[in-house]
Amino acid sequence: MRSSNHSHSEATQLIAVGITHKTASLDIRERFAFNDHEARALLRELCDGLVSEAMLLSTCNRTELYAVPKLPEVTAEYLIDFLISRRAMSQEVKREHFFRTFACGAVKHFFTVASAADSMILGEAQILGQVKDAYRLASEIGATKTILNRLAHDAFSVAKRVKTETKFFEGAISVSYAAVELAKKIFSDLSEKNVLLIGAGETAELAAKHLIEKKAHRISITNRTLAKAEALASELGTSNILTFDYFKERLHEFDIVISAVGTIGEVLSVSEIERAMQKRKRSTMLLIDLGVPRNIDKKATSLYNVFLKDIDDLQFIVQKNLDARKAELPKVEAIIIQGIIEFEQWQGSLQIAPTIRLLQEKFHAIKSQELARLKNKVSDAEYKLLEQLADRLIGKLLHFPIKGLKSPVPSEESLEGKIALLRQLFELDDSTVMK
Amino acid sequence: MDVSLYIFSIAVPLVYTSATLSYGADFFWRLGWATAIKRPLLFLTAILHLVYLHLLIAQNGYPPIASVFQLMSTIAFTLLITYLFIELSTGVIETGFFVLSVALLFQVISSWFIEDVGAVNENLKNPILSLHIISALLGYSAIAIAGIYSLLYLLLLKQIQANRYGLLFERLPNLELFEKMSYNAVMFGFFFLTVAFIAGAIWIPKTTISLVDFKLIGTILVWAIYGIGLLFRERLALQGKRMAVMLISGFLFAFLSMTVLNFFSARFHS
Repeated sequence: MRSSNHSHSEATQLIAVGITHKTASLDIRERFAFNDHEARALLRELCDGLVSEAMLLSTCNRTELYAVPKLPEVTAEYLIDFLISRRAMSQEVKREHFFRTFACGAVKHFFTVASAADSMILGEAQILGQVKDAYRLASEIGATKTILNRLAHDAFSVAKRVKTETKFFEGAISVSYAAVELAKKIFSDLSEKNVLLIGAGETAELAAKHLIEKKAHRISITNRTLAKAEALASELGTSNILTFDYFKERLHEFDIVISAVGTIGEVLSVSEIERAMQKRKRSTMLLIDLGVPRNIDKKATSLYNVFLKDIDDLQFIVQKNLDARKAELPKVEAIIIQGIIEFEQWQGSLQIAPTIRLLQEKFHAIKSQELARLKNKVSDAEYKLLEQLADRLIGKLLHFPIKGLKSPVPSEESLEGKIALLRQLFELDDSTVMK
Repeated sequence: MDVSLYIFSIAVPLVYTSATLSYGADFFWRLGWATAIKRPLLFLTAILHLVYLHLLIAQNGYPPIASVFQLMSTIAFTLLITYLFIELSTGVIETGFFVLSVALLFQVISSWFIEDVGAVNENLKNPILSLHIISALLGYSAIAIAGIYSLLYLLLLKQIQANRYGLLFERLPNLELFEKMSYNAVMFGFFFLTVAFIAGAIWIPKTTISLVDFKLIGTILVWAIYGIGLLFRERLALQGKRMAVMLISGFLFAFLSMTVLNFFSARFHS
């Protein structure tokens, strides 16, 4: 009985505790984050007697501990207090800042997190990588075993299904990516388009990287500080740099212009754009103004074949995509529920596996014992036939109890009862199996 | 009317309806079954329509061009074939519903009103006249498709300009592709209209058709406007919205000259 109960208790006592963007403010979350070194130390300490398995997921929006306790006193509250004490934040952080969930609830939470359905920005793709990193770190130091290994791999499968079977990860959810999405609705092949980046800051860089992802490679950069433009150009792998006082002369050469210059205000006037449009024979030009305050004269919107979009305009695309992701949530939840069912079924098989093994061992021990009595009374060929007959009989006789054991039951109590009955009927115990 | 012809005159609009609906269901609701059956239905429609036209030729002994309603069925077929060619060559499948809706409209009107024409002019069996009519139909179909694409271009443009990023923004191809497809379609159409004109010019002295015929003048106008537009496209900055408006106007004008005017005339040309 010990073997079976051990697996069973581990599986059902999976505990998840943590703070997330839903339970604690950023101020608390950022101070509660663990780097890799700290996470390793914490997991080692936990696995040293308190829990049999543990994994720590720490990102800017959440710090979550998943654990399979070894001792009965290791409860959710115990783990919360443990985390608080390791951060020495007992004054600022209270138990109320933590969520706590168990067994099936913990499984559901982990699957939801890995699928980015619990993220601050729904469908934010980064989280799956962070979950994988957390699992890798825990497994490297031997903190994950049967339960958490399976939990993590099931979570990756669920997240993969969400990605391939729904549109939960589709569409731009950042303004810079929305700009690229818009460009793709105006132009058919970005690789044939000339792009000008005005500014060399973080926003311009992000927009450029999204453009490069969509195969736009003809990128030129202009910036007041030439050194910054050169640094960004080298990072993006381009050598096209225009000096800031000269780029307007060549504005007509560009199909897409992205301006992200902070603080200096208007960079392009409507007359400068009109001049460029005349030179390019009114061929379509997309101007993306990511600057705050705005860099491009809003009047340019009225120019023929000019598309001018600022941050507020792009926010409409972001909102549309977020709404679309919200609409996909029922599909995501259905996949998560399927994942939970599969995990629970696996847990169930984990509970019955030792009983099945004992049952088979017992029958085969009886077979060996009975065959041994006949060994000297029959020929080798006859012995072989008897052995085959016995194997077939065992297979057929065990088919029914094993099938009955594997069949679905309404509750955990029923499964435990079924296992107990079978063990009682066949007098199964590790010690009683005949060798 | 022959029984098989009667059955086909009902079956053809029905398959057009099924194909159009499946393209619509795929475009608007992304329904899995619609995505799976829409192209097979398109092929089935093309095959059934081809058989129907063949039956019409077999019964009448001339191509289905003797009445407005026969012509409408032929236009529906050329629209379908032109669209099928575009879908297979460009891989753009999002515009099917819009093109097929127009083809369906033509075919439904045709099937509803079509009847035996009785004795027809022997000229209809003349190969030059056949070339004239077939080229004109191909030309008009291409112009119709250019018009439909231009309309979609304008709708998408409107959504982008107004920051209303709805279904059309999400599902339709990009503006530049629409512009290219419209331009290619109109080039194709202009070429066939030119062939139709040359064939018509060769054929007209052998007939009693008046040179002040409304449709003739109308078609010459359409041809001339398209010709000027294509020739001076760059100089006139005919691109983007301007090009789209021109192509939609051209399509409407051609449609009216092909259909409405015919209701006032017993023959295609007076």
